[in-house]
Amino acid sequence: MLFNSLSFVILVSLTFMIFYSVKTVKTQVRILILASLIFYAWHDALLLLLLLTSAGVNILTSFYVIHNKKNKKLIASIGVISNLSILAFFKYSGLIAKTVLNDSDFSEFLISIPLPIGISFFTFQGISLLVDVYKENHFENKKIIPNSLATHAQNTLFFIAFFPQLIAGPIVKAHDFLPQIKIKTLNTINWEKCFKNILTGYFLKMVIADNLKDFTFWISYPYFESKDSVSLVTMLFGYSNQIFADFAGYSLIAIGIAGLFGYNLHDNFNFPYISTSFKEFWKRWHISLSSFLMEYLYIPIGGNRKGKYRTYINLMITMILGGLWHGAAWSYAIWGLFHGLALALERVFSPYTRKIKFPGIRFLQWITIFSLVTIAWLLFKLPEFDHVIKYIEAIYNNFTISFERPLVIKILIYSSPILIYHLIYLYVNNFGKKHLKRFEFIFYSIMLLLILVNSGTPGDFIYFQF
Amino acid sequence: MVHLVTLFISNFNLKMIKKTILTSIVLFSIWSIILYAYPNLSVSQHQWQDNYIRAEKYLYASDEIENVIIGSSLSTRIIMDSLPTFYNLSFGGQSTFDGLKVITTKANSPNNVFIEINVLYKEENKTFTRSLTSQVPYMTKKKFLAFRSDKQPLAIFGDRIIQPFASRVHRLIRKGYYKTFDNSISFNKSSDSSLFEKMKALQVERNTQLLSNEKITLLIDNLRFAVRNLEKKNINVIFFEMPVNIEIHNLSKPNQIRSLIQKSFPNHIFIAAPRDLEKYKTSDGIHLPRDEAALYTDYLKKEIKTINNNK
Repeated sequence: MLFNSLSFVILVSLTFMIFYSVKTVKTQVRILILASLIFYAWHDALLLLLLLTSAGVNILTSFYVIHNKKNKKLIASIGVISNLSILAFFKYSGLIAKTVLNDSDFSEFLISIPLPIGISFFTFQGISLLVDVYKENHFENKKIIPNSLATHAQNTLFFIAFFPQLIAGPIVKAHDFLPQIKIKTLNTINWEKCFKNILTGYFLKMVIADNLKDFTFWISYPYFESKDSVSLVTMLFGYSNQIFADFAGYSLIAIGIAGLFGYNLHDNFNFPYISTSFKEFWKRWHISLSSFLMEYLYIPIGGNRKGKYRTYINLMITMILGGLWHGAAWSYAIWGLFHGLALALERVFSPYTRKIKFPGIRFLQWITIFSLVTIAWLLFKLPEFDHVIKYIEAIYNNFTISFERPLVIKILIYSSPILIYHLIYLYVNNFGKKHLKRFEFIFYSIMLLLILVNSGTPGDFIYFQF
Repeated sequence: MVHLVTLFISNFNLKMIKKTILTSIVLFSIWSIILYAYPNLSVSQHQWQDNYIRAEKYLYASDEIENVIIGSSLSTRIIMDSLPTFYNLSFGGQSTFDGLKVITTKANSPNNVFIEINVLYKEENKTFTRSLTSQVPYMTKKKFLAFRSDKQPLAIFGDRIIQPFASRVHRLIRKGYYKTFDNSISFNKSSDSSLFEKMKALQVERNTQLLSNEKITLLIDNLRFAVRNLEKKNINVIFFEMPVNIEIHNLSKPNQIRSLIQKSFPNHIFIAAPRDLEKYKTSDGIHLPRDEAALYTDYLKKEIKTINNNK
């Protein structure tokens, strides 16, 4: 079910009305579970089996981790391995078959396994639950996890399946979500915040991303070879804005809708394109994934505690796996490797670069980071690595002064709100909110108008494929 | 329920949200007035938007339309200036079934529907047809011009304000560039013939794969159902095939579709692709450039004339 469909609006409205008309937390949770299952099963009811199996594994293993003091580590490990196996089977079988197996019925079977929507997100949430209850470093199990298996099962299923973030995040950690399960009332809703999040989210998705996608469509082989350098660079710039608008838009809608039900999800994007280093970029882009990888992968494998060379290797491992999390293709691993290398090199050279001080250095850093991040997005758009190389070659070879003006202008028009969005953030950071607060309703009303009359042709969210 | 609504309203007293909604209504009204004052403001930004615009213009046209062509991007190339009594309801990147759905939504039916068979294997794009034919979008677009696809403010702003300004600046830059550099330094893109070969190879690959029996059954059932519905409304159905590059014309998929149509609809007129296919090189293996499109349009006109004479 798409966030920009009428069926979704009806589901949210009905759930909202029923949710606030009941008086106990258990019933409220049950209503949200039911809505979440309807949401997930909307296009393919069979997928529910997988979601329920994944939730079942996490419910049982986490419950036994809490109540079985002797084999705690073993059970937690079984749980984590089960989650990773489910993810590996559905997401990576095809890649493994293509890479290591010869053409056979078995490899064909592996390639034909469909990727269930949202699997990368809900399996990670399951892992987060297991690690949190095993380590108990965020909450005391007895304070948060119910004693009864039935209530624990209900809360866990709710945590894993909560529909606003079920299929494309933000990835919610157990220690952030479970303590929030309590009775919710209408007067606890922050209406203004929810309204702003939902409106901005729909604007980014429907007006920016959905319009840009029809101009960046030509970043596909061999069509891009017919375009000139200026158009190729502009399309890449447009795709960079499209992917941001698409995913940040989805996250904002999810955060806004969760807020309507009294659940607070952390921000997933914090104006990433103002970053002046890769480290900063990963603190601002897909924050829920980067903090998950930091907490549950980078730190457990040693982080920066085992010397500088191990730190670089740990960074690379984390980023390559983070890349592969996005998709079962080697181009995603290369994308991860690129970011891992960039983070490592930044670490190597930061003692020297920190000393460089001249006017405009911040601007130079910003433009370098934005350009490199943007070039790396090519690996998302063109999953075949040689096509990426051909695209870059085409930028170099196809130079002409007579570029495709209409295409370039349209991409710049639809990208400009992203620039304004980031500029407003910089303005607020430097001069405060006071001046803008009085006029902010004008920005929101323009966004509302454009959602109504200037939305692009509807398209899927890019992150659904992950 | 009443309690819930009261509770909702009492909690929903935010000035900012109300101001935003009211301002949007004012902005929407201003934009609507501008569109009524300047009805010629109309912009299409790309092929997909063009599909919506074609469909909306057809759905909301008050004139009777005699002949309608439905098909894929192949048929969008037909030169409509030389077919004045025809409306081209072909959609780039989509299928014949989308056009069929749009035709059945409109109360006034055409006399003849020409169905392109080349890309019949594509299924109906439900997102597309629903957003045109469902009650809510259909009525809102009918009543308010501002909701139509060719009336998007950012597109119009870009086309009418930014574009002319940018073209002037671009001309100046070009002039300066040519003064500074040798005129010969210009386009150095990969040669057109190699690009053509790559695109044609892609089409050859696509057109070599046969349709599965399951797909064929579904396709023919859907088509029979749609044709029967049109004929119930006294609409004549005529099938036609767009010319493609001769290397693709004889591949397994086009052959399979061609014989399927002739076998499943033996009593219907079928305008085959022209015999002199070597004249149609195409730009990528399947799409006609303008000169070849003009040639085909002439051929189609002659065929239609023969059909009318034989009636």
